[in-house]
Amino acid sequence: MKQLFELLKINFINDLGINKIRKYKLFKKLAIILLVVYILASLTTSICVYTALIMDNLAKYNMTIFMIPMIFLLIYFVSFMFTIYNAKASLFESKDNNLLLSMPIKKITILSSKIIKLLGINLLLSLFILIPSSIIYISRVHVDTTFYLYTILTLLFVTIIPTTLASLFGYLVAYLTSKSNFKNIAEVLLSLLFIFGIYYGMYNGQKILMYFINDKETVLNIIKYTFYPVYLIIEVFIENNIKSLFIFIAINILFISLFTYIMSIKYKNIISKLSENKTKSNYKMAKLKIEKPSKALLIKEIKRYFSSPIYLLNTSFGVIMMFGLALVTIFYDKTKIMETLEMSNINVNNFQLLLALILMVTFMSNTTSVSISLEGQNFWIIKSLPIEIKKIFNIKILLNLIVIIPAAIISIIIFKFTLGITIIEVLLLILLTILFSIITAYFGLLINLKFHKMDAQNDTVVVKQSLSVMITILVPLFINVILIGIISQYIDIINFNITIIITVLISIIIIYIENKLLNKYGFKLFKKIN
Amino acid sequence: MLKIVNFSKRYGNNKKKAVDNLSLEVKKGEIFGFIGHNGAGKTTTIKSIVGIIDFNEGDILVNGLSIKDNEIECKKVISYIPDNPDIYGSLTGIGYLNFIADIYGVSQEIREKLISKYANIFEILPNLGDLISTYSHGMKQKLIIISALIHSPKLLVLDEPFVGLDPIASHNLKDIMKDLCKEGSAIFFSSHVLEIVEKLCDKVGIIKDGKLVKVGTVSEIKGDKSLESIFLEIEKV
Repeated sequence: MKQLFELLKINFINDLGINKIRKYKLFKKLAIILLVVYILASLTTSICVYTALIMDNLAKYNMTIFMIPMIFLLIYFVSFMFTIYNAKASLFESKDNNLLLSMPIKKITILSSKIIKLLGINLLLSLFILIPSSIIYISRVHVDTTFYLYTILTLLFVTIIPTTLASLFGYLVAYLTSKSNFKNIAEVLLSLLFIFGIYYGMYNGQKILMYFINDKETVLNIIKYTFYPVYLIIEVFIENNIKSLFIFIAINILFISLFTYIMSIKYKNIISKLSENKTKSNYKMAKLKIEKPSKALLIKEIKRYFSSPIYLLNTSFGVIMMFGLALVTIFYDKTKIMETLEMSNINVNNFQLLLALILMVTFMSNTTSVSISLEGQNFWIIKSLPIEIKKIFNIKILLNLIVIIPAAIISIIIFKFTLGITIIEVLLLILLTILFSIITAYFGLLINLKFHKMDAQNDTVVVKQSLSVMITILVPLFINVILIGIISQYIDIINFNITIIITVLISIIIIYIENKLLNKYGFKLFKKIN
Repeated sequence: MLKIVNFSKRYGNNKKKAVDNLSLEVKKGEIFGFIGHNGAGKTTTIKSIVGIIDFNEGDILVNGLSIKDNEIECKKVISYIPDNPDIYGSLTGIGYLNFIADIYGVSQEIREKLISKYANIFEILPNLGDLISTYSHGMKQKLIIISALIHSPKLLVLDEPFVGLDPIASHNLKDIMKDLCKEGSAIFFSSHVLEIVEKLCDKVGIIKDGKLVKVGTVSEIKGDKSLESIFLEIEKV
């Protein structure tokens, strides 16, 4: 038990970078605190708004009592999704596995420390969802003391099953694809398939809710026989059934104990299987292809991009989504798509809608925000090679443009035929795609140079948990929310053509400023990184 | 080939300099051994020579050019082998070597000849088609050594090059270092293996707490004693 606490303590200090943060200057500490507060405030507000909306819907049918079980269902989903991204890297491919396995520590202790860490993160995420939504619930529904007791106890155990199931899923995907020559691509495709499945479910969320409202008994029966723990949560909160709560806790404890025990028996085997690679060892010297230094650098950058499923998936998802949407417009009625996007009540045309889509996709597909951090321990290579820093920056920016622009252009051309936008609008959209992509690529690179993470345990830590990524997504999002807010207020009096011209001009000015900043400070920051 | 003049490096706002007023020279055809305890300033000096880190005071001249003002020109004639063989796992061995050859603009004929030659010497030719992520520590080390040799550097800078190499590879590397010097290149390397430094080097520099405390030819430094005993005497002071 002492070893387990030691491992948890070390993980906690290392993952949160507590010792590093202590050394930060006051300004950097304040910036981090402000960013965290901003993220928390945004999340809390969104959750409160969504909870209130669902509560309104449920209140119409006198079913507000189902709200808390629904929140726990959401926690199930969030925990599952979060763990899918993290389980493989945290449990099976962590850099400290070899070190820990060589120490006189039981396998079950090592695995437990890693699982508890995952559960801890999920518990924290759950709190972010549960606290604001419960506040809305309590403000509208009278609750007694048992409600608080049930909620706290359920919260403590609710993430166990989704975490373990997602860990198993992550392991299975890794195992099934480990023998493939294209294992990274296969892993990305499987993950995309799964995510699209989830989104399909969310897309039909309204239908599911209505189905539940109309035929509650059947739905409850389905839940009871397919996913009993969720049914128990419903029983706890709807029927005030303490016995169900005890069964729920017992099932979760049994589940996590069995999972940890069985996985620990095969832990070494799993780690070694997942680290196995196909080697041919039969290379014979052949004619080598010569490239110019810039092209060689770009090829290296592209290979790095495709070698990391999490990097690829995270930065290509927006582009794939846009391309998928373009394909959907070929087969579906455009008015239905407008309804789907819930924009039909706002006075926007197809061009404006596509402009918003492109803006969103360019923010989502920022490769430069992690491209310096992902050099990691290999950073010495580009630093010691006779290549100008400017050239290295240009290649990293170029990769970002390659990821977005070709797919965006094809999508825009499809939209031209399906949504009936004019040639001028097509050209404007392409121009704006290029400008927005350059802006975000420059911005991502600048931010990553300032907030790099060169010693990450794995790519997931860089892509999913680094400050650079958070800033690169949230700052433009924040600015755009304000801009959209202003524009929507004055949409009737704004001349859209003039707005577009101003947008193009402002974009060019921003690119000019970013370029100056990169040349002035970017070089210095690059040289400072060790 | 390499001239370090009053070089000093301080990290951040640290009061103490990592390297303090270091000056030395390595001429063409010389092998210079750089020794010192852990944290003495060896890697800082090496990383400054090869242009990985900036420095505060002094200058480093490579082939007569300052690394501060002519970084790219200097880097074109330098090869660097770090103490840790961290390289792109997503590339194949041959892909990495070809990438390095592209960056240095090595002709097709020469790159194929040298890759073949050195890959055979270090016995990793059959593995060059495999991903680097599948390589062992020693194989990665060998690959970095080959990548450092394929553009025929005028100055080879090595940080603990023998760590992780098997005895045969270690022996071959020493032979290659001698051959390079015969061809007119200069070599600057750090090592904790004092026997190798003693046998291989023309000149030795001993760094302690960031200061170069002794520099000269091997015979000047050690006299009748072994390099190890001289080193231990310095460290005890």
